[in-house]
Amino acid sequence: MRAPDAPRAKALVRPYALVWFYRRWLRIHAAQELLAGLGVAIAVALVFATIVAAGSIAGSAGEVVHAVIGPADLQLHSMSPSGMPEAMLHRVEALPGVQQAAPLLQQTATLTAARGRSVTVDLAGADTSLVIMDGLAHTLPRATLTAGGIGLSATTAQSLGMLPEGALSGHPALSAPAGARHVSLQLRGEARRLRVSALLGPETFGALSRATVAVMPLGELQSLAGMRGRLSRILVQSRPGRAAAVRSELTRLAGGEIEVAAANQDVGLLTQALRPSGQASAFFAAISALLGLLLAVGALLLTAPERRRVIAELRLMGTKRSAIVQMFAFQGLALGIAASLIGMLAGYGLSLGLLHQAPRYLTEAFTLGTGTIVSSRPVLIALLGGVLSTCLASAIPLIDMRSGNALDGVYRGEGVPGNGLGAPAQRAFAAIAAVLLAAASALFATAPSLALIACAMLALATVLAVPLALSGVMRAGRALAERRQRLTVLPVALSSLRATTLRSLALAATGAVALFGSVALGGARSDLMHGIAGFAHSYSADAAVWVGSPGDNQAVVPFRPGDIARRIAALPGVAAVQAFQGGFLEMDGRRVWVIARPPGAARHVLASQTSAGDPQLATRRLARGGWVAISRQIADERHVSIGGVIRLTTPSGTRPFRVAALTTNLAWSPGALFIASADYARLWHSSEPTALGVRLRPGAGAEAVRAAIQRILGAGSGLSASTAAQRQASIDSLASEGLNQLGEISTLLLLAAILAMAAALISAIWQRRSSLAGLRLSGVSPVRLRRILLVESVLMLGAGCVTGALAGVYGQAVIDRYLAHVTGFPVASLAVSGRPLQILAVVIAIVLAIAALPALAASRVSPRLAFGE
Amino acid sequence: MSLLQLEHVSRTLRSGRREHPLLCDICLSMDAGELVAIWGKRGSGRSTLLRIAAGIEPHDAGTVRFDGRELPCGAALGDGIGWCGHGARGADGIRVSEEIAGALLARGLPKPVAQARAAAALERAEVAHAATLQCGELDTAETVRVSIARALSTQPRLLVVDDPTAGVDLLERDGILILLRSLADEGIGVLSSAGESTALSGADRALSLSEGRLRGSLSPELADVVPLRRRAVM
Amino acid sequence: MLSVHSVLELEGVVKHYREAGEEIRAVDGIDLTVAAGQMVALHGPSGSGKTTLLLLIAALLRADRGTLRFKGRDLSTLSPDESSSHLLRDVGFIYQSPQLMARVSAVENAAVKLMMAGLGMREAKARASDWLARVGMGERVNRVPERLSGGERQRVAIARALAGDPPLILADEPTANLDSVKSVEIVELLGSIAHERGAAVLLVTHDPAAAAVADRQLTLRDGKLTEEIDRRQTPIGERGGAAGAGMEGAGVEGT
Repeated sequence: MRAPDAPRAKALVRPYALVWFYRRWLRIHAAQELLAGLGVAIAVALVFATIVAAGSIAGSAGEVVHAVIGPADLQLHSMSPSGMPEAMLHRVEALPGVQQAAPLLQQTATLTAARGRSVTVDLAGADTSLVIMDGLAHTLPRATLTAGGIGLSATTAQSLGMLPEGALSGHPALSAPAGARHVSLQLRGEARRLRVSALLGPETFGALSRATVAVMPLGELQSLAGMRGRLSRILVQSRPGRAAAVRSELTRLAGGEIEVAAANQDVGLLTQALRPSGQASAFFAAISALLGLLLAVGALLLTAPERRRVIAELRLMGTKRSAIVQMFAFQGLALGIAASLIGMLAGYGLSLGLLHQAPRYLTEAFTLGTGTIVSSRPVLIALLGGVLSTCLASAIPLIDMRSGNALDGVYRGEGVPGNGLGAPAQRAFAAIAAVLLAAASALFATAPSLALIACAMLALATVLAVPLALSGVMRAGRALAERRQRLTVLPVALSSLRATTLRSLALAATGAVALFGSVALGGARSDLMHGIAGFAHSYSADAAVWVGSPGDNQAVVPFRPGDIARRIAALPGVAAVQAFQGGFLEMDGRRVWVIARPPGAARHVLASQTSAGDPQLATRRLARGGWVAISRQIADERHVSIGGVIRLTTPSGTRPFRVAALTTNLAWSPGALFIASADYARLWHSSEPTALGVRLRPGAGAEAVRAAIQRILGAGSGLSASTAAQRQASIDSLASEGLNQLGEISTLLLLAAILAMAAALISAIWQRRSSLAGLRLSGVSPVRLRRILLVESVLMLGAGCVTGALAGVYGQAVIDRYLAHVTGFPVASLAVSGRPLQILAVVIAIVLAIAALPALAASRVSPRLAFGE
Repeated sequence: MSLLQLEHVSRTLRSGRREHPLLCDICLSMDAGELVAIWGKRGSGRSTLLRIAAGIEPHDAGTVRFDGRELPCGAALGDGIGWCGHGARGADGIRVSEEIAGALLARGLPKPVAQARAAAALERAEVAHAATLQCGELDTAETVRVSIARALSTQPRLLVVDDPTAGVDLLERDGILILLRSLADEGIGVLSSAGESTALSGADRALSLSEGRLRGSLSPELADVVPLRRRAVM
Repeated sequence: MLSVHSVLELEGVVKHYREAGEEIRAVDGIDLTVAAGQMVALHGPSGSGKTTLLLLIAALLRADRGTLRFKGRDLSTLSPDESSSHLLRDVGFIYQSPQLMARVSAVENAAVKLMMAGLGMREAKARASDWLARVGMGERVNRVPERLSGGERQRVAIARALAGDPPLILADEPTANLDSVKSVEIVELLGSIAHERGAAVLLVTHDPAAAAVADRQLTLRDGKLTEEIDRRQTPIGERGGAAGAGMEGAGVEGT
């Protein structure tokens, strides 16, 4: 017996011993571990899905841009809607450093297929030089660029119903000539019937097949668009090492309306365009990630009592601290990696399904792809986040190993072993929560851009305040039980709640996080949606009936009105017809939306969207000319305030304007600019309207007038008329589309939390069967037991959820402020409705409903179990 | 040199603002091969004293020496000191032999060695038959014996046993006391505690603990053997 | 024959159940009558069916055959609700490991049954603290179980079981966690309650010292009951000394 301990204890635990311990743990606590793993997986799925969904838009658009530009490194592009002369191409080709150059005419057009489905596309007019430059010469069907035809990308064809969904490659229709089919093309106020010359899948068209685009011969598009001899863009590939020289040569050639830029400029502009809505999404993603990880921590905390007991047992058997740390690290790693991988798979599924959508509102200004792109970043973030939070949460019980604590302190604490949370800890939590709340309030007041940190603080404060809330609820319950002597179940339920503190707390905290998240995110989202709806309303309200290109919600596609305006003006009930103009202006790396209207015609939208300045004064100043109203974030970037001077680079050169008012971003994330029609026509050399605004005489019906206008326009015009209400609806649906995923994220979060809570509740009830058996031996009938369990669960969940909901309303305010001040979106003022209460009731009801069956089984527990101890 | 030496050890319990001195100025030394039993009422601090002696719980003042070296909390547990007590009793669903071998695996021993040692320890504690049972299936006496086996598996020189006969059937109590005596006879120092005088059988020295003070023969020189009592089996 | 004073009558009670394909005859034809004011000690090796017998009497299990009567009422006719209420009002169940609610004071633990029986919280606590005083816990009514010793916890459990003045007390190894001195104290307390209040006490115990306090000692082996010692020479099921003791108890109570 006294033989020396031959193989001495080693510093490192052998790997098979680690595995052995984990298997042992799994054997006893499989259910809890599964639950914890589920929590982590859900969190990781949320994080992964939101990052991937956000990244895919920019990423796939980038692919599309690169597919178009091929090896080109520079470009000339026209800032005026009327383009640049084709002669420029020859002068560019003649430059010594230029290897090749390709002309391009880009137009926004609407295609309508036989069955009436229509889609707004980027229509490119190109010649073989672009095909050669892009390296598509060998793959692109010869028929694509033949006269009288139009080539459609597979995605465009799908949108038109010409290809089944999901048939991106290998579909017979893609390889067979598509000559039999026709589409109707609406461009510049005219409609034309064209033969589909090719359906372009990934084999022939590369990444472009996933963008909503169409191609046709350059010359034909020029004549269709009424832009004979004009180009919108020349892509240039310089000879190796000559890029700088070519650039300066091009700059010398260009001047005035033509701008020299990197060929991939659109990627940068798109990134900028996506930034505010991306900021909003990223913000929401970050919050949901944070909440998801908190959920995971909560799920793991549910096993903390067992883990604490295991630690105590191991230490009493003489296991060294380092060995225990290794075991826990191994278990955390194993669970974290497994759960994160599963979570990422689920998240990928989510991003393909629920969250998959390129925001259509961007397609007017950019050529977007629709692919889902997974880069290494979200994978790393999700994996690291998942594993780290798992390790961290499973390491929390290691706190018991602090020196100065009894080795088996768990067994000496109050309550069920491992479940105790002392009063000092509770007080400390409450104090930290108060400090966090104060800090979050300070941030809220002084630095809206740090809202993410404020929200994180709020979320943490919520979790830490839960013990206090729970003990408050219990105290209130006791007071009630003292006063109302007939509530026989309540005191018993309160008593048994006290015995399982840590687990109850974890459960309540899970509820708190879920409610915080869905109230804050959901509330902020609905405020944002209301803000956008408000904008759509005020924007449309500036004319009773709108005439413009179908699908052109921002009124940026010019058309030739001919005598249409005159004929509309002659209609009965019409008071006036105004020509609205608009377009995009590249400015500081943003594609800014320009709104040019005759005096007074932007009254409503200005009145509702002005965030600084007097809208009436601004309207008068705009009418005078030389003044603009501009989105706040652009003004902030340029450090101009109202009355200050801002220099704008127009097609006629850089001109100074004075700022009349600051506005929201009009739901166009790069920002917007109001300018007088006269200024626009003069500086942009264009008098073509992009929309006609029809004002009615009092008493005239908008719908009747719209119908009359539509008859004037006829089928061949490529224009359509809509009432203010119709236009509002279409703008609203389009503008809020990019933000839809916000709603989905908060719903997912809520679902995840409900599942986590229900599972936790079930396991908590199940583990208490022996004490329930004890109650049965005292003559508590199963019906009473169920009532006790019900009251307990409602108190536990209620305390957590109410805390979460309250904090959530505060969080909503923080996020609102962030959205309004940092991203510039129109945000309705904080609206607290009955929604938090609804969510509260629904969450508790669903959780209880899920847990009802196990609770029923547990209430019928055999009394024999009470003897088991 | 004494195997275990407590010098002027004190321990005060604090709950809220109240202080409750539990152990005052305890001095005790014991040698290898000795069976020392501490006798005291519930709440007298006898468990706390044992826990301090085993290095499970920290003490407030004084020194504890094991093998002549000062014993920081938890330092020698498993490395010379074995502990059997209540509370931790292994998880249900795990076999007793696995439970014991597992603790050895965690100490870095290879699997065959761990298994052999676990089996030997169970054999020594006369519970070899329980090796394949699960921890939850043991009766009270078997639980005590298994926890003795668990401690023996680390080949301790000092075995600290908290209240080995508490809750054990009268018929089984003597068997456990005989086992402890035989372990002491093999040269292991055994420090045990008891709530009633019948559990003092076989001890070399019986010390009483009350009001925080230890009384009796505090050092081995004055060994006064209490003969092992034979009880009639009913 | 139904005795006026017999609280509990068992006739030919059989309970078998299957475990792992094997039939276990937990209770195999038991006849037993316990009179009011009588304390019966039951002894038997583990697995002899003691617990099953107690569960049958508590109406938590149904017998396969035979009849169990509590105060003349056949327990097999009780609905589930009635059997719960039987347990709540008629039976005080004391078992080996007192399932007290953690972090809840002794008086509240002892008052649980009273509260469940419909008594208001204040009234229930007042009565429970009386009972705690009776079992020698008068000074510790506000302690939580974690700060009580095993014996003290068992006393709280006993106060909980007895607080409703049940006419029948079932005690399954109530002294297993106690030392011998305290065991005897507890058992004597149960005996005095039987005698004073006229309750019938069925005590399962291994401890001969504890069993010695009882009026009768029975042994259960393989599901069958044998009477070992009858201190007061009272034949089973007959009116006699024990019943007389019950009468005396009632008399004391009355004055």
